[in-house]
Amino acid sequence: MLQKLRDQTQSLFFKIIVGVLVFVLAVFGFGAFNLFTTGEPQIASVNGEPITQNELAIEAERERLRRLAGMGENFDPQAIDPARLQAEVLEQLISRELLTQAADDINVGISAARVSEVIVSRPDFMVEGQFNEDLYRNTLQMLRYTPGEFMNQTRLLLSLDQLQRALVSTAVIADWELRLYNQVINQQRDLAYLAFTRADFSDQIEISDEQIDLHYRENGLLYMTEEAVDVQYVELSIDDLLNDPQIEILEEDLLAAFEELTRNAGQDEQRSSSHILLRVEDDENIDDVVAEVVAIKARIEAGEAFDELARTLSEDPGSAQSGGEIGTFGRGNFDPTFEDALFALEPGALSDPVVTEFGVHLIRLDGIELTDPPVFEDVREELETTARREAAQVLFSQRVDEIDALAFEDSTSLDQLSHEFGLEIKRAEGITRQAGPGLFVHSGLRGVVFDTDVLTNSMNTEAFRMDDQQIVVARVEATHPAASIPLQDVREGIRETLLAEDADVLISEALANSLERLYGGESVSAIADTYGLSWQTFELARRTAVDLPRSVSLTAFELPRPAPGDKSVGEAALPEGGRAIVTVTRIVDGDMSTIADSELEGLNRFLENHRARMDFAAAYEGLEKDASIVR
Amino acid sequence: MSEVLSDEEQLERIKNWWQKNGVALLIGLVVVIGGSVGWRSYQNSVAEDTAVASDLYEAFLSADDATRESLAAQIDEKHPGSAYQVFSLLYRAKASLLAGDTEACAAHLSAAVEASSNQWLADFVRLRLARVLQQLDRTDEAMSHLGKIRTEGFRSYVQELQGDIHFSRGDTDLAHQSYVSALGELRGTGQRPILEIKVNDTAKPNAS
Repeated sequence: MLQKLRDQTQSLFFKIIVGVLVFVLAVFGFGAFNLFTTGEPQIASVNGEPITQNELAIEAERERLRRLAGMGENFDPQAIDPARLQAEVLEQLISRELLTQAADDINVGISAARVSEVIVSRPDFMVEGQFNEDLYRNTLQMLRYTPGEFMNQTRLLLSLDQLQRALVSTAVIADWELRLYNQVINQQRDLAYLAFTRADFSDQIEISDEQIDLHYRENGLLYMTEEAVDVQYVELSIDDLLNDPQIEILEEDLLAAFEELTRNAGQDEQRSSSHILLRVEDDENIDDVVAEVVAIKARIEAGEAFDELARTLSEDPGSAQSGGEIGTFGRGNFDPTFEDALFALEPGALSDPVVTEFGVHLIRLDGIELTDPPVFEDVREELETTARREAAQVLFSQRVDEIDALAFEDSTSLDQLSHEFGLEIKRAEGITRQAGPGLFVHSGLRGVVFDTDVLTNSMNTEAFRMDDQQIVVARVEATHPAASIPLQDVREGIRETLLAEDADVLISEALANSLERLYGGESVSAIADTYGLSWQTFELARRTAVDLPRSVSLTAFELPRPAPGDKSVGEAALPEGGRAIVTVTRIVDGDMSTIADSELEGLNRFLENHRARMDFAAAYEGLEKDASIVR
Repeated sequence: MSEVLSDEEQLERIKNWWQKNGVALLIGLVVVIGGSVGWRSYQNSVAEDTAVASDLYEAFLSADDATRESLAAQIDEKHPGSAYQVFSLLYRAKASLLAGDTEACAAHLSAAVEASSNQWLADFVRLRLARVLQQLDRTDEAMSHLGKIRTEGFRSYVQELQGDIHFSRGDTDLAHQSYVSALGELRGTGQRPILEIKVNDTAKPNAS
């Protein structure tokens, strides 16, 4: 009796607990349990929305793969600094999160239909101009997305794009702004500069041999050769293995590959089609919509043009403009109902109304394209090349492991490697940490060579992957340590350095003295005469003037407007050393009435870009300043 | 629990508790479930509405001149106050200005300010509206719109535009003040070379 009661109570408690769990799950979904878990470590947050360590790691890895893919020939995984990559990706994630929240706030979003449409038409997922399911899945897998995540990611990026374009490509420029910017940007100035160059002062300077000796002794580190090594190396690439005796391509394998090829090709019928789509709104009866489509079909059969009706009636905005054209597709690209109807049609014929999740379609088959099945003899060579390359690839990764092991086992010579794998021992000389000949332009390879074990303990390097097609094993044969360069080889260089240093001191004194006299009211020519120099003058120079040093024109255009009859004075550093006094005597603003058409066009283009950039910057800063971003 | 209860007593307590609180608990459950379901269906309907508006807006963007206006009218009618109404108004404003109708451009932008559902978006449009109003010589209105901008991050851009307006009206000193404070707002974030040029250009002559 007691036992029975106990069972009852227990089962009642049990039911309550299960009931609570079911209730929470049903009402809040699995997401509710996030409330109870402590959460993953987060690395930043934007208005309380976390960016987790995990999220950052995945996104950084995706970015790394994208960058590697973009490197092509210069493939070098070591060129990407992981810490910097993470920092950059984190900033991207933060700004993306900020913009996403802004988009959510004002209800910007993308329909599921459009997301699919965009994914299907992305060139990345196309083979010969058509969406390819396998390529799509493989790419996603490589980038570590599930299809659901990728859809969401695409949806997100599309809504950000929509927001950004709406704000930026609608930027306008009013005439008064154009006038204002023309006034400033196309301004012209009368300016002059007096250059004090090192050459102007060098004849006043004497550099003694003692000075040179002293400098050489005190700055020994500056006058050293770089440490360099000569190496022996062997290399192996996939191309070397294409004709390896271990690779045997059997005729039956080729025949099997051919069969595989033709099995797919057998289905290679492509149909081009057009459609008119009427959507079924919530308040509509599907039969009424079907009746509408029947009516449209009747109008076309009575002689009205399909493409006209598609343009005006079709509710598929993507195809309506082009007269309903969908394009040319094989099987497997459409809704099955749609596809069955399409593949049952004769060219030129119209379908009966076809109901899919998108609405009711009227389909016209525009044409059929059949690809002739290939002949074995024609493709035999191609198949063999492919098969050989695949086999070589397998053999290559096998060999690389073996080479790596042997290079480590017998780490003091390349002879056995060379003998065992038939690799030629080659030599390269004068490799420094900064540069090297031939294969050694690869910075990653140089890094391996200058590794302590290799450099000082004379061990073989590992099998270093130049890219995914080629490896190198190297060993240092001779080292040339850094050494002092003899004084007589650098004497002239040192003399010039010391000369420049002394000249700069004289220039500073002369410049200060001249400016003082100029402010004191002395004439510009009197000052130039003192030093036997002359002023370079420019009338109506533009901001973009190229016949004077850039630093001089920058200074000249930063100076304030001079009072009438007066001048503004500034100074600038000269590109080859030395400095200059810069004066501006007149400013003429850009004038809309005299501007050339081509110039106006250029200004307009510049301003449009500028405005678009500024508008986006403003929009972003507007969000950023009001957000709480924790890093 | 300090006292030891027999199983019957435990059961009895639960029954009593249920009689006292059962109704309240049930009502609570109904309210929570109802609220949650209601909130979710509200969210779904917003998302659906957004998707429809978004598709309509995309159709508007890619439409030819003939159908463009009717699509714009559909957006105005079916999705008033949505971001997409604002976006389409921005496009209509640009088209009007390019067609030489500055009045219509200003009208579209005013409508876009009205339709904006949050301060940030409204303020963004106000910056643009102020420039167009200045073109119509309605400087007071332009300045009053700039005065209504509350989004902190826009401050530097507002001051730059105020400077532009002063500068174009020949008031170089006021323009200089505005430009300098615009530059001061930046605190080292971002490069604004054009703003620097304008600061220099409105500076008072130095004594030589």
